[in-house]
Amino acid sequence: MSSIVIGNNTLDRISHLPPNIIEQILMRLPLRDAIRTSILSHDWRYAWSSIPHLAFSWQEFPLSICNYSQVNFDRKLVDIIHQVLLLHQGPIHRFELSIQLRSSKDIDGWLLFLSRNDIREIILHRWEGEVYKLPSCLLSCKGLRSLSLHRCMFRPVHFQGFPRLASLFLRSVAISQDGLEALITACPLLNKLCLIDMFDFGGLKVCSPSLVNLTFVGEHIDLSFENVPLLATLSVSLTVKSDKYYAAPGVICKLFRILYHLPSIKKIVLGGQAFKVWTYGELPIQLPCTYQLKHFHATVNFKDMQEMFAIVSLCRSCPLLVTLELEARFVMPANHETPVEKFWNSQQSFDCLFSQLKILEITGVSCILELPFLKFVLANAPVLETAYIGFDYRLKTELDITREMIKFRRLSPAAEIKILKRKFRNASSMWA
Amino acid sequence: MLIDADVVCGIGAIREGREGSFVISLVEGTLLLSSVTIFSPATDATNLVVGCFLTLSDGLSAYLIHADDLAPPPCHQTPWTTALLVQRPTPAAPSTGSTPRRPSSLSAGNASTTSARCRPVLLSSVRMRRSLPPLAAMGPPPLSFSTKSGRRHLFQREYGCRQGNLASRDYLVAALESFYGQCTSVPAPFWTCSWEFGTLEISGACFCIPMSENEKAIIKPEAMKPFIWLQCADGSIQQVEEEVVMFCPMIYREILQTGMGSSQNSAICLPDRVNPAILSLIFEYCRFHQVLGRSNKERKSFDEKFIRMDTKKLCELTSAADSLQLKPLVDLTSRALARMIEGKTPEEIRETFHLPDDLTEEEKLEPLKNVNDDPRIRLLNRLYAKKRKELKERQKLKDIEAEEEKKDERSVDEILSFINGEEDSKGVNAIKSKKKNRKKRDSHKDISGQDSTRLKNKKEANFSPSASQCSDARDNDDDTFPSNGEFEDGDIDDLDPAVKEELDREVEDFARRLNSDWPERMQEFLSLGQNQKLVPNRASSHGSLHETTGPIKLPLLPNSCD
Repeated sequence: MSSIVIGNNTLDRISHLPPNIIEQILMRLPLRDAIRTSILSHDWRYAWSSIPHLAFSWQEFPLSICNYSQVNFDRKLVDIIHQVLLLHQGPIHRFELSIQLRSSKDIDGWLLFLSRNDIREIILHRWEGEVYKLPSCLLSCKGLRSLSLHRCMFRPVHFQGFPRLASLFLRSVAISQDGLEALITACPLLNKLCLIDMFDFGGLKVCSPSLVNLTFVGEHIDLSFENVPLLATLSVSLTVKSDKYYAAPGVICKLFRILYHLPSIKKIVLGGQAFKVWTYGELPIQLPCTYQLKHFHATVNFKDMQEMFAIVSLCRSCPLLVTLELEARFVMPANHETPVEKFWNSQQSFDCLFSQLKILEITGVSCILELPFLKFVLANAPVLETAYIGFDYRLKTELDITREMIKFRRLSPAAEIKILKRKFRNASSMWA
Repeated sequence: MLIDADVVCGIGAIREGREGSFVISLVEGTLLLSSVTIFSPATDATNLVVGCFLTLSDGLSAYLIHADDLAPPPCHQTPWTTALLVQRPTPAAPSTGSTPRRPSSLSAGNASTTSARCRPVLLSSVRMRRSLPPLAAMGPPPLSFSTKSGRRHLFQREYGCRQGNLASRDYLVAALESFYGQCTSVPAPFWTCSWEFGTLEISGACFCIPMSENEKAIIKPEAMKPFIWLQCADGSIQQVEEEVVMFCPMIYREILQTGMGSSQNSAICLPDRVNPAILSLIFEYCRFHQVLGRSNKERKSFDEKFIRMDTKKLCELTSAADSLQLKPLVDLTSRALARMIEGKTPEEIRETFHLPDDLTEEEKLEPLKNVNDDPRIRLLNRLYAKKRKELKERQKLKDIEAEEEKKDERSVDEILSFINGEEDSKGVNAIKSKKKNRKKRDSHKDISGQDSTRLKNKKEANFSPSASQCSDARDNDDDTFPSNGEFEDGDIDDLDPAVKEELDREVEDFARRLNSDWPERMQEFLSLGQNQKLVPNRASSHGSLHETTGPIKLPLLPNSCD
C-alpha cells in the first residue's frame, strides 16, 4: 500500500477538527465502525477511545461473524469487549449488551469496570444461555439513570435504591416481589417503570411518589397502587391462565377501585384481558369522577354486557375524555342472542357523557354487534371530530356494516367516519 | 444634532400602555429603528408594533408608524420605514418660547397645552422596504389615518421634507393643519392607538419637529434591513442582515453585551476558524432557518441539499459552526461526516478524507484484531506477508546465522519457560515448532486449534496493557522488521493469518534481539524476578528499560487458558 504521507498534510481536514466534534462524529457511528477508525491514521488511533457510549448489539455483532459457531462467537466477543473496555479512556455513560452471548461469566467483570466509570445507562439483554445473576457491584452504580434488563436475576439485599434512577425496564427478570416493591419505592426519581413477563409472583403493590409512567405486561396478578400521586400513564396487558377472577361478592370491580388511587392519571391502556378482569365485579353506584383521564384504550368484548356496562360507567365518570379507543376482542359467537341493541337503545345520554370526546376508534369490528355502541357515541358526542373504524381481518365483506354505519345520526356536525386500511392481521395499535 | 449617540436603545411606552424595547441607530445619516418588540401578554400582539412613541435626546420625541400599516396585523419584525418625528411640547410653558428654533409651525401647534392640537406630520421617510426609486421619482405608498373625530385622511409622502427643507416642511404643516380637525390631547408619553384594518387612528398630541442635517435621508432603493458588520480573521469586513446574524448565539451575545457590530468601525470579530467563504455558507443556512414559518419537511430537504459538498468544505463548515456555537449546524454536519465514514473500508475512508496512511502494519493489526478482523483485513495481511516474503528473499544472503539463532533461541526458551511457569511451556513449544517449520519450509506441522487459540488469547492479553507504549516503540522498528525471515503465508492453514503474522513477527523480533545483547539481557531476566513483567531491552537502538514490548507470555488472565 502506498502511503500518502505529505509532510504537512493540508488536505486532511477532518483530523484537525476539535476533539468534541470528532467525538460527536464517532458517537453517531455504529461501534464497530467507530473502532475501525483506529487504523485510519496516527491521529485517529485512539480517537474512538473516549466516546462515552458503548453499544454491543446483535445488529452489529451478529452470530454470522463466526460462521454461526456459538463457541467461537462467545470467545471472540468476550475478547472484543475485554479489549474495548481496557483501551477505553474516560467515563462510559451508556453500555448496551444485547447480543447472543451464551456464557455470562465475564459480565461480572465488565459491570464492575462500568460501576467505576460513571455509568449512567445499562442495557443488558440476554437472548441465549442461562439467566444471568446480577452481581452486587451493580448496586454500587450510584449515577445510574436508566436500567434495562432482560432475562437476568436480580436480588437486591439491603439496597438503598439508585438515587438517580429514572427509567427501569425489566423483562423476564427473576426478582422477588418484596425486592421489586422495595426497589420501586427506594428510587426517589423513578419516572418510568416497565415490567414485562416477570416471573410470577402473587401481586404487586406499587408505591412510588415520583412514578409517571407504568407499563405492565404479563400474567394476571393483583396489581395495586398505594401511593402514586404523579402517575399519568398506565398501560396494562394481562393474560389470564386460570378462570378465577378474584370475584368476591359485593366487591367493586378493580377498575374503579384503582381510579380512586390515581389522582393524576391521564391515559389508561388496557390490553389483553385486562379490561375483562378489572371490570369483573360490581359496578359502583357512586361513580368516581376523574377529571384528568383524557385517553382510554382498551380491548373489550362488545358482546359482554358487564363490559359494556363498565364502559358506559367509565365514560360517565370521565367527563373530559378526549380519546376513546376500543379494540374488539374476537369471541366465538354464543348460542343465545345477546340483547346488545336493546341495551344501547335503552341507555340515556347523560349530561357530561362524551362532552369532550374528539376521537373515537373502534377496531376489530367483525359483526354488527359492535355497531350499536358506535351509534350511541355518534348520537351523544357533541364535539366528535373523527371516528376511525377498523375491520377485523377475518370479515368477509365490509359493505353490510358500512351500509348500516352511514345511517347513524351524528350529533357533532364535524364528525367524520374514517375506515382504516385493513391490515393483514389485527395489529394492536396500543403497544406500537 | 438630533441624536447624540449612534445607537440609542430604550424602553418606551408603546401603544396602549404596553412596554417594549427597540433600538434606534443612525446609520449613514439615516434613522433606523430595529429590533422592536413588545412585551405583551396577548399572544398575537407580540411584535405587533403599530405605533411607538420614543424619547430621544434633546427632549425630542418620535412617533413611528409602520409604512405597511395598510397590511392587516400581525406585522412581523420588519423594520420601520417611516418615522414620524415629533417633538414633545414642554408641558409647563404654554408659550412658544421653549422652542425658539422652530418657527411658525410649532407656535401654531403649541398654542396651549390645554387644547393641544395634534398634527401628525410626516417628515421624513427613513427607508423604503420595498425596492423603490427615491421619493423624488415617484409617489410613496399612501398613508392614511383617521382622527378621533372619525375623519379619514390620506396624505401622500411627497409632502415629506426630503431635503430637509424647512420651507417645505412648513408648507406641509400648514397643509396638514388645514386638513385636520381637533384631536383630543392625551398626556404624554402615552398614546392611545387603535388599530383597525387599514387605518390607524391617532389621538394625542403631535408636533412638528425640525429636521436636522442628519435627517437628509438618502433613500436607498434596495431592500433595507438593519445590518451587522462582521470581521473575519483575515481582516475582511462584510455586512449581513441582522435577522440572519441573530440566529447565531455567539454573535447575538456579543452584540447584546458589547453593542458592537452596527458600523464598519465597530465590526464584530469572528473566531479564527471562520473564513469568508464558509461564513457565506453559514449565513445561507441561517437565512433559511431563521424564518419561522417553514415546515419540518422543508427544513429537512433544505438540509439534505445543503450538506452536499466536498469533504474539505464540510470539515471547515463543521469547525466554523462549532466556533460560532451554532449547534443545529454542528449536528447536521457531524451527521453527514458520520454517514461518510460508516460502512466503508479504511482505504475508502482514507481516500475520502485524504488521511495519511502512517500507521505501521503491525499497529494496524493490534490490538483490536478481532474487531478489525474481517475479510478485507485478512487480505491485507496476506499482501503484507507476500511483501515480507519478497524482502526476505532479497535478504536471504545476509541470513547466515540461522544455525546460531536457532540454538540460542531454544536455550532461551527453556529458561523463559522456567521463569514464566508451566502454562507457557506449551505456547513456547508451539513457537519452537514454528521455528522448525521455518527451517524446513517444505513440511509443516499441524498445530492444533487449541494451541492457536490459546496463543491468540495470550497475545491479545499481552498486547492490551502495553498497546499505548508499543506504538511508539514499534515505529522505529518499521524498517527492520520486514527484513527478517518470515513464514510463507498459507503454509499453515488452520491458523488465523493474523495470528500467523503475529507469531512471525515475534519470532523475528525475538531472534533479532537475542542476537545483539544476549548475555547482558539474560542477567536482567534472571535478576528481575517473577512478579514483574519481564521486559527485554530494545536492541541496540534504545538502551533503556522503560520501553516495553510484550512478546513474553505472561499469565495475565486466568481464564484465557482453557
